[in-house]
Amino acid sequence: MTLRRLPVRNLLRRPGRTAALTVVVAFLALSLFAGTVLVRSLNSGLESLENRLGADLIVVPATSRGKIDPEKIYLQGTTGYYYMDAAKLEQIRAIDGVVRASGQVYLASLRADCCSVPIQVIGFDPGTDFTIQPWISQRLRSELGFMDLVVGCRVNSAVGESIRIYGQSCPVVARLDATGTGLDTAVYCTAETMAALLEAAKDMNHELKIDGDPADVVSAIYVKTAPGEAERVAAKILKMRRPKVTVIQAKTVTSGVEASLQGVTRTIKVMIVCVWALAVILLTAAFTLLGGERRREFAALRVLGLSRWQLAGVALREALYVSLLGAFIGIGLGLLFLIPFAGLIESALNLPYLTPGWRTMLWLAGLTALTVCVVGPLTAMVSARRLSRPDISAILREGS
Amino acid sequence: MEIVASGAARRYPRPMGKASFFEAVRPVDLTLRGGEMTVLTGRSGSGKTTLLTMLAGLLKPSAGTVSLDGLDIYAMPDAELSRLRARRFAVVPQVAAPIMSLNVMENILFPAALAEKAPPVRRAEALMQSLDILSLRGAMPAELSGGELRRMAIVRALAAEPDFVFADEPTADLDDENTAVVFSLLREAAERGAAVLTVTHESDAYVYAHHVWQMSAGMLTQD
Ligand SMILES: Nc1ncnc2c1ncn2[C@@H]1O[C@H](COP(=O)(O)OP(=O)(O)OP(=O)(O)O)[C@@H](O)[C@H]1O
Ligand SMILES: [Mg+2]
Repeated sequence: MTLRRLPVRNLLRRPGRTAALTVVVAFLALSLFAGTVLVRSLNSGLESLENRLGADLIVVPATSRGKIDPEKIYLQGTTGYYYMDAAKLEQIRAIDGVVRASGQVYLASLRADCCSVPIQVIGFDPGTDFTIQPWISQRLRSELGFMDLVVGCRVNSAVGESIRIYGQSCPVVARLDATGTGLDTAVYCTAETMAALLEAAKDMNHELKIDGDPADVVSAIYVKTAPGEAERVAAKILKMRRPKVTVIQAKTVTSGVEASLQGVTRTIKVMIVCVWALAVILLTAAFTLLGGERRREFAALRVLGLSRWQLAGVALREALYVSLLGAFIGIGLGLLFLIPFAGLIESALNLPYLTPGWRTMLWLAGLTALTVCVVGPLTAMVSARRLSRPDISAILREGS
Repeated sequence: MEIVASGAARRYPRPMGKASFFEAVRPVDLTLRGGEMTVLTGRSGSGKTTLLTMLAGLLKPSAGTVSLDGLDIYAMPDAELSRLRARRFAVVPQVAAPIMSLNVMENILFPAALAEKAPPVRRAEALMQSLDILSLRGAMPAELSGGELRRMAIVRALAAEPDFVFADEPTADLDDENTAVVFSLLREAAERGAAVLTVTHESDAYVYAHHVWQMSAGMLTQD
């Protein structure tokens, strides 16, 4: 039996006390870890959203107003059935201040056999697209061929498999990284493929509300403007002849998201601070109260020849072990809750949410553990200091 | 090898008549030598425990010094004095002070571990045998009676063969038979070369002592 093993023995002698302290520390760790991961996920969700949607304006058919929530298009990537004449694309391209404009065609299939949820098919023009391809190119080196599909990370089809859409079998050639939005459940193809799919849908008597040739429609036009021109270009688009379009400005949407993101982030931070303040008070009180009960024991150790430092060491090591255990449990619970429920959290918050990769997760876990293992013993420090300089003779004079 | 108290006194802040101090121990000169057993008696509250703890390096005198072979022990930094206590001193406190999370045997071997000495298992067992607690070696302190705890404390003090033994009423809860054993064990320790100080009310102890001192109202007188 050596001094090194004494802290563990002390902890084991009072399992109830040890468990109670561990629970408090676990809460500390859980709140810090989960809170940090949440804040981070939201931030990277917004970041990926902004990066990906390089468009300053999105133009959708005016008829679809009411059905289209601009925030939803941006944040959730929810699409629908709405179409306008592709000639609008040329009109917009001609406007002064427009740097790029590219059309996208949306199709939603309820009959795909890949998943229980309806999948959205998004067709883009490889020649002009600037919002989807940079993102796809991270996963797909070669060109996207006719009838090839690229799937979002939450579509249940692996590369090499095929998805049937309106009777057409389309091979999955790549799978995208998570974005934390509804775009993760979408399927991407070229405009050419899309035209074929729309044709097939029509053949199957699916009501699509398209006038004319499916090859000549777009659902949305993504516009990149010269810096600072977004507002002016938006006004010009609305002044086109018979515009019948709605213009969504990216900035109004992302700034709205940023604002609510800041709100959520602030709430989370306040919660973390509250939990920590409470936990630190609780821990300090617990250690102090427990310290009183242990004065006699500590005096006994002093009598046997422990120095103040050694005695403080015993108390601090006890706190450290409790903290390590608590951190382990708290972080474990955090992982258990954050990873499987990322989707639920996202839909509950209604904000883009992108869980960090395992490296970042590990790093955050380590950081949390470190913080907890510093703070835990610090709270024990107060009582350890007091305990380590007792009036030994006075304590030993007290009857039991 | 000796501990010398010179003018060692201890006062406590407590209003006593005109003075605002209560002098628990008035300046005392006392020497504890290796190979000798010293017995200290006196009425309750006369300052025996206070003097013993000062000599044992646990209570700094408010005046005077306590030195070990010429070195003032209270001038040492805490770490050094603690190491000294761990390696060379052993105290049987007046009240039971076991380490609750260790069993009887571990308690007994703890001072040796602290002093980084080999665990004196044989010696501990022999001492436990003579005090009739060998069967309790695996028991936890919370399960022991007052007298058993006392005997454990005595074995713990003697097992590692310390140079100085300070026993404060080591026989307080013991029967006559065990009392006699304890005094003879303390005497043995002195014969082995240790300096032994025993505070006791038992006049039986005198026959084992080389010196007997009497304390009354904080003053030391030799019998
Ligand atoms: N920390 C303290 N503060 C104030 N007074 C104290 C303190 N410690 C001891 N005293 C007083 O000093 C006196 C001597 O106490 P001490 O414990 O040395 O007596 P004792 O001779 O060992 O008595 P007993 O035989 O009852 O153990 C007592 O009157 C006690 O009240
Ligand atoms: Mg006493």
